[in-house]
Amino acid sequence: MKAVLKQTAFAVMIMLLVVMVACSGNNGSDSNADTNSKTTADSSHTSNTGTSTSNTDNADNSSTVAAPLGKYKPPIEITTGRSIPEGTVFADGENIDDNVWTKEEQENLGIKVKNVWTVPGALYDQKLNVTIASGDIPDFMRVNGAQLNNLVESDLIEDLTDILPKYSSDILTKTIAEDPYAIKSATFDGKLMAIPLPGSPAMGASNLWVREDWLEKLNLQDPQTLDDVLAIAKAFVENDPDGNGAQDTFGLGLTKDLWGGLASLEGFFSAFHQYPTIWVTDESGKAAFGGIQPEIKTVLLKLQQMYKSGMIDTEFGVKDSGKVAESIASNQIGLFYGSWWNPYYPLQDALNKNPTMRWKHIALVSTDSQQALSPGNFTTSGYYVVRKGAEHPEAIVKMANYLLTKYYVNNEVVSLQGKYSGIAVWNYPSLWIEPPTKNVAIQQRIKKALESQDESTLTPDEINNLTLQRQYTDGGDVKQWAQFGAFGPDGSLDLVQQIIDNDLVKQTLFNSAPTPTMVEKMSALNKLQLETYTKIIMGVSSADDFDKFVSDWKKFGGDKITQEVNDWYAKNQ
Amino acid sequence: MSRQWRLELPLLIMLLPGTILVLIYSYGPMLGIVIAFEKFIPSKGMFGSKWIGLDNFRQLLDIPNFFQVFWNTVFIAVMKIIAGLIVPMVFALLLNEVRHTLFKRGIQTLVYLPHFLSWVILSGILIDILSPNDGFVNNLLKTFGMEPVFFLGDPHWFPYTLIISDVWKEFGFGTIIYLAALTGIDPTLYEAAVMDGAGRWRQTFHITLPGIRSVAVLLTVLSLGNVLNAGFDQVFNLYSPVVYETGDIIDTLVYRTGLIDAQYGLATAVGLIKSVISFTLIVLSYRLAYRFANYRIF
Repeated sequence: MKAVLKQTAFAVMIMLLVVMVACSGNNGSDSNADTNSKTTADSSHTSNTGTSTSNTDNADNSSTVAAPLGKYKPPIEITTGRSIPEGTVFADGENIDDNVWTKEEQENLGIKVKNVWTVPGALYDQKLNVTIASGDIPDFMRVNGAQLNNLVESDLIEDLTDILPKYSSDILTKTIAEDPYAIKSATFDGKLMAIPLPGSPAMGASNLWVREDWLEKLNLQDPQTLDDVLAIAKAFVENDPDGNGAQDTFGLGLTKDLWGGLASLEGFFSAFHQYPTIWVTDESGKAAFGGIQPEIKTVLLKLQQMYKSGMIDTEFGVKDSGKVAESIASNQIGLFYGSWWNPYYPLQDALNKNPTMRWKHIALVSTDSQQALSPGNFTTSGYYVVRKGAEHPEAIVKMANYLLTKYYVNNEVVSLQGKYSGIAVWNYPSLWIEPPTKNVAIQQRIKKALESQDESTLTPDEINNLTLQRQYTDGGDVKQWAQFGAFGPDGSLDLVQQIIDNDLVKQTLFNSAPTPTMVEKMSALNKLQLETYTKIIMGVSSADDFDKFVSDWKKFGGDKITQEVNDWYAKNQ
Repeated sequence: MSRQWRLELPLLIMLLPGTILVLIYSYGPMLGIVIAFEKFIPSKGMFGSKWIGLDNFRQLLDIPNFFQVFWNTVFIAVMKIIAGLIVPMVFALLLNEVRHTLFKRGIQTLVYLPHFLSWVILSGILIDILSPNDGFVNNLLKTFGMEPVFFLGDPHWFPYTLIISDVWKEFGFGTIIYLAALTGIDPTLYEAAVMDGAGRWRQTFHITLPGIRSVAVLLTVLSLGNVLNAGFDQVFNLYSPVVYETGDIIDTLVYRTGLIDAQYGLATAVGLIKSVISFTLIVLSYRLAYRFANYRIF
């Protein structure tokens, strides 16, 4: 007993020693940080005096800086951390720090953006969370709603309430206003804490993609109702549409994530007027989560039957979108719910491998006479924030002005010929903002120009677009099919225009950045939902497990979240 | 005294770098445990964040299926430890009987190759070869007239798939240690046993196995410390919603709450519980090892 006591005492002593050493170490680093900030303050002071010595055009300079597109003299440097989208290619001799776009910014705005770190797109959120945790954030960066909440709570970012209106160009103001919920979601206690990136629910709307050549081969018509879709799926499974004599095709493509822009289920649920991913009104008129409504069970049962009869890939539960794209390319899938950009991914890859393949998009069908609506999430897609204490918080507003003016108002695309041919230069800018329905507008203008046979009204961007389309329609270049499939007169964007025109979006009731409990619990609840749905579809658990899921969902934070959403709704409707 | 110092001083100096590393990288980060009791806001730091006591632990209980996750971790880890102990040992014994050196070396190299592949790569391969439609393994099952099994998409099979694939990846590497232990056995013991008329089985039971007992116990004690490390890399790359029920482990939970949802306090609380249990287990196993195998480090 005594020995144990002695050992414990010894262990405690060692622990204390370690704590003390570590604490004093911490103090040391703190004082270091102090001196650091002091030196930076000093140096900024000197640089200030430096500019004031050449104060001949100082007054003049400040007025140009205040203009939306005014240039900094002398040039400034601001830091950022950014993601580089997968597959970004740079022209010869250029890289992320030095390219045609950075040169533009330096020459025309006097802003040099320094990337303190870069990561591939998929890792951006993680890297950002770590960066936020360290408290040492760059001058500006793009964050998501939860991160914005976190940053506001941590008091790490600059208040932009006065800065945005003062420096914003007309086009930027107009662009942000296109998303009615954007500014509100970036406002905390009356203070605008970020520049929101506007989105449009119509752009995220679901549609149905179907193999046209398979339909023709099996003498099938375009689906008008969900029953038609099911009949087509059945035929695609049983009647050997690829003609290879083996039963190796599936009806409906599906990924293990269930939701999203490729091989997802939102559109299927829409046919039943169920919206499992958004907030809807329940019978009592209150906000409720669509994913726990009792009618969902019926839809899941339907999917379970489809799975049993082989209409859904039996292995969908382990397939991510990449694997599903492979299945599409290898002629296994003839039908899936997707979105307007699917011609670019994954269909173009599939067509490159099988040039005889033909895909067609169809508006959502319904189980009854009532029109199927696409679920409209809160679409503000991100926020640009400025570090608290940054010297030039207005710089990002000016960069946004410049980007919009250049790409959108003046339509000065970097030449698609020559050095930048085939290179996605829009991946270059460290800040990207665009009118959410820009692509639809382009498609509609091209369509009208073709109808009126007057192409003189088109901008250079649109002419480039049309040229690429013609490489497919006239030149037979299958590699340009995606351009035609999306932007063609009957392209998938035309469907988006119809959705906008006919208001075919069921907008979620909750249009804001996540509530506190959502930040804490929603991902666990989403996981629970995904797990339950998947298992019911695969027949691993019975449809009755749905009821257990609903009560679990409520118990593990769902009720509290519903309360918060209702509070928000009462205040903001 | 001074003579003893002179003898021990070089040894103590040699110990110093290791000790410093342990202090910096193992004891230093332990301070972070404080976060488990705070509503941690990164910019306010460990000392500025609000102290909320056991709230994070209470919130743990609110995570759906937390106990299931806990049980999965223990089950997968324990099965891995048992399989990871038996398979390399048996394999080493068998390999030890092989007299053809070149063949022996060849086999040895071949079985430890998978150790050097990452789970990112292996998971892609496993998804393909375990596919119930056209995967190699299921084709084999079908030729024997068996029903195809959805190894990665069936909650019942998933943990076993994890365990078997982990053993397959690592057993070659474990074999090396046992082979080394086997070469350490005094050959005169075998000669004496043969003189006394002992056959292969007798030799194995009375000389070989006792000869490698201490190594086996040592490896068991060491692996028990890892009992709650069911293998993040592997699970993360192989799991999917349909097998969450049996495949989700503490580490993947910490990853999701900590890194994805940025709830550092909660994630630390989970990690802390895990450490406490691991600590208890290693103390326990050490005691048991002393009692039953007379094995102790100190």
